[in-house]
Amino acid sequence: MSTATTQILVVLRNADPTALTALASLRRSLGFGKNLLDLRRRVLWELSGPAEGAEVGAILDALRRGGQMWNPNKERALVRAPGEPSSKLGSPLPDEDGWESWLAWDPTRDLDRPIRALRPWRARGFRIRRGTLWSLQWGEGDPAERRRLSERAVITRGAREGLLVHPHLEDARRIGSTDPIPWLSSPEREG
Amino acid sequence: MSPTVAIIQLPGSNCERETARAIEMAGGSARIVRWNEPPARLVDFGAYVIPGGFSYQDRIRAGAVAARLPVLDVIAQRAREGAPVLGICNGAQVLVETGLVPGFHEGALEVVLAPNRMPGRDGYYTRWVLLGEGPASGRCLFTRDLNARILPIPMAHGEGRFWTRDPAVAQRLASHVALTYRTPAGDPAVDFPWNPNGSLESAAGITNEKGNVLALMPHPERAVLRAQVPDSLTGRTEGGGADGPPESAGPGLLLFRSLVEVLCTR
Repeated sequence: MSTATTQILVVLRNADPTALTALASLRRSLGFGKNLLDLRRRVLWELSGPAEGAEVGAILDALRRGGQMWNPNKERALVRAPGEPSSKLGSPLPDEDGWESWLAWDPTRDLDRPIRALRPWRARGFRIRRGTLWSLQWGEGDPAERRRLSERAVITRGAREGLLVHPHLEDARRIGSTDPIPWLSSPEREG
Repeated sequence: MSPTVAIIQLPGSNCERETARAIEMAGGSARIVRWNEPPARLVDFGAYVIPGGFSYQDRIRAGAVAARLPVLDVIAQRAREGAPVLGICNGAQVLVETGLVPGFHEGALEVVLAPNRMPGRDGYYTRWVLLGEGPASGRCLFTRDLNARILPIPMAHGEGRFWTRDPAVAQRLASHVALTYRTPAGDPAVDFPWNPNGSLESAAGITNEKGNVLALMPHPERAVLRAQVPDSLTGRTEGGGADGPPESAGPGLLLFRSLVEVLCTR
């Protein structure tokens, strides 16, 4: 049996208060000013385990019914899985100019147990990981400069240096222009 | 009359009134100060308390946004000058995000208050816990009168696990622990539920090198009267303030009395 990986990106239907607060704090308190044009946040769930394509569909149905991973009244879930029609939604990475995207996740957090809908699959080696995709849009600067600014904004090293990812809590990496599935559970990270 | 204590009301704080009342019960005077008052007005206070709550709705990480406000620059400067600074729950999260505790290297963030680690569950958790001395109790001005007592105090948080990935910091952290979670037998609590979040070194409160800043996750302002302590915890905590008539002083008052005592002698 092959290993199947499914991504679920959860997006608020209305404006994201966390992203707006992060944008305001980076602009005002950390001095990035108006050169930081915009900021977006996506919650990413990634499921991986030994399953055939049809079983992935059954798991997704259970998760949709469970309501623990996203609230359909206020959030949309973009599912990217082999054979899922919504994969047509394409990449969650902004395709306009000036964006830099970073993925952050807590590698030690065990999310398998609290997700009740996954219990039937846990015993068979299914794992679930959660991360946050931060995308920042910059006004000026060449790609190297934008990359440098993004790293300064994302990685928290002091009270006046960085905000979005605390390195004592989360791992983070820059997402390039390609976005292969999986992101969080790639073989090199399984260790 | 001792110098006034500033209770910093951040957007989303919800414990400022009971914290001010606790200081007044301890014999001090307190004033609730909003986060957006001109920073120059803050410098004359004798001490600072950042109360519990959910500043900025815990967006990004609990305490992360508030820690970068101008008001925290003033508090950090006053802490460097030796003024007492207490952060309770969300206030502790703010202090950790400023790097004031443990403060091994100025301005660096060396620990994090990570999500609770609890078997079979996730998220916010609340219960009464037992607090006892840590290696730094004697030098921390809020806990130096603890004298081996065990205090029943309530905790209520989702992100309260003192944690670091740096082995060198983890090794040094023990010397900055001013309050530890305890089991009913009085031993440092390693496991859930008496260590309710999986904190390193059973740490409930961490201080800085000088001992004038304390980041404390449980809520002493919710245990300033004996009547607030559940009967199930009386008798286990002799001398901890959980015995006596209902209207007598509760265990949480000890920390505020220590603060007022310090202010009165300055």
